[in-house]
Amino acid sequence: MRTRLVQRAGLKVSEIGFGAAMLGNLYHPMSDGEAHDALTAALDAGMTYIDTAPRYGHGLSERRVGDVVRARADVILSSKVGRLFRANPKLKGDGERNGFRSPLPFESAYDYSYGGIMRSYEDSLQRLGLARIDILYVHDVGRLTHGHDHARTFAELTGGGFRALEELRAAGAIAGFGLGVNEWEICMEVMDHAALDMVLLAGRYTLLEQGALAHFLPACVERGISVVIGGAYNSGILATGTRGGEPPLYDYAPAPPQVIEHVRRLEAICDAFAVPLAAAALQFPLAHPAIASVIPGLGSVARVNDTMTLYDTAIPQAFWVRLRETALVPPDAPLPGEA
Amino acid sequence: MRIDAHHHLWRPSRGDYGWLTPELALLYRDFEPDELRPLIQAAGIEKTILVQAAPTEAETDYLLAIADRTDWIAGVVGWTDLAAPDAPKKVAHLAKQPGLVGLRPMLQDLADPDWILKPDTSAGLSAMVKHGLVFDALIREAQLPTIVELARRLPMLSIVLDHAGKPVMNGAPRQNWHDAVKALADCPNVTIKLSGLLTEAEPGAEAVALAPYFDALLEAFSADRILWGSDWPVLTMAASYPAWVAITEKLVAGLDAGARAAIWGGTAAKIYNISL
Repeated sequence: MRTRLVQRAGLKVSEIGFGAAMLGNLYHPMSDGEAHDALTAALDAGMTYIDTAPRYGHGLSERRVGDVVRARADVILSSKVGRLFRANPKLKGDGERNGFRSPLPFESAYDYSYGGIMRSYEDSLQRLGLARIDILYVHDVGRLTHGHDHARTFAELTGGGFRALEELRAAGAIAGFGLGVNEWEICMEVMDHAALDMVLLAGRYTLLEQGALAHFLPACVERGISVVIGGAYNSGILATGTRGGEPPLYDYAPAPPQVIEHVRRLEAICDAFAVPLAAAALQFPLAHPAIASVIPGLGSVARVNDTMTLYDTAIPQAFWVRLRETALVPPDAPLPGEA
Repeated sequence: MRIDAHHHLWRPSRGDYGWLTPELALLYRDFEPDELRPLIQAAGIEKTILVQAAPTEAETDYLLAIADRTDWIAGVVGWTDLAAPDAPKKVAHLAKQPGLVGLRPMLQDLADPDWILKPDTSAGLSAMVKHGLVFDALIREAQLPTIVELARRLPMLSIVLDHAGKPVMNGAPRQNWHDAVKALADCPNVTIKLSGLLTEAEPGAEAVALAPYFDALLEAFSADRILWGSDWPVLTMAASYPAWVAITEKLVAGLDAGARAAIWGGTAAKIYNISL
């Protein structure tokens, strides 16, 4: 597994990282043993960059991640800030809450203030059982999440939250910080308020959509900000394709006809070159110089092994060129294998 | 099935059209479904797409209400401000309205010809993709490069170029229009409306004057990416509804049945997701 430098934080991350949302029992419960085995397999395969969050299973993902990485020296770990979790004795069982089937009886409230960020960081250390987190992302800030409350939450962040992160970075407690979001527009806004080291962007620069290409990624290159790509399969449609029995998912919902049509065009070219769609999806974002790592969500040893196979799949240069020639990716999108 | 993929209905007294002034004497009156119905029936047209004419959500609501009580209106192309901070939410809301199939920012009237390429509109455009809405591009010929750029940047956004990109029509097609048409045809997410040409052409134009433009569209896009529309009532400044239908019949006369069926409605049904 190759690694890439996160310039501003002085870290090296694996090109494929481990997205640990599933370790919080995303949609389906999994055992501690399965979680342990999946993460251990990933680390052994060289996926040494791991991303978790308090939100993933109301603390469950952090607990499981911490238990595995405590004994490992080679891990780069990111978690997130912006929500505080409080115990609620009325919460029982592992019924789905916010997508997670976790039995941990905690519920969250947004808090982007100075105190809120500091406490979130401390709470994460406790749950992880670790003395260090390398990277902190401010989770889900922006209009997409907060709607009409955006102005207030944004003011909280710029009025104290970023100061907390800057202090942690200055003290060497963390190597860097950034945002962990589903929209790049908010990152452009934030760049004027804080010196971001990294951005974790889910879904917005993939084989399927390159909305971040025109404005956001050039701004990151210019400022030396490293970008980590989550959701490289756009919620599944690039992993499953359109030919399975189930309606493919795009951006957490059933894909509209236009999206399915576009994926069919991609599939036709994949067929012509005998390239698995998911392999192209995993490798495409890494061609952009701003991008340091792609982190699929992984929840089993089998998925870890599949991911390594997709990462190692040799994709002919002619395949990428064909995508460009047929206008399935923008003409200025960097392609793997190009200098 | 034949579909008129582009017409309007309006009441000037609603007061939000902007461009629709008393100077446009032929157009400055109410146009209601009852007036259009016999025209489409005579042409064998079963369904239509009703397109916005005012840059307001109030007009979109007005059009959706008309569509709701008019069985032959199969879809509405509406409007919202794609640069508004809450555009994704507005787009999601509009996409839930029965009959709303697309959105059309009135790009030809905007002070900044490249407005749609600015970062402000990106979240709204992403929401259109997510919710399966078609982007109708209303532009002047000079803005064609903007739409080429948009289509290349957002390969998943289904873009319909209204009125064949409004070519400047005095004589043969101009090179810049022809080049842009070819560049757009290279983008699989773009389709084009065979509409509005009589309004751009010299008064009294016949099929022979339109043929070079139609041939260029056909060669670049082929029939399964061309949608026929009337642009009624704007059409009435240049010709009657049956006259435009008759000219179109002449233009497509040499095509095989499948190609004719695509232009007359098959493409529109596919692009706007109209169940037949």
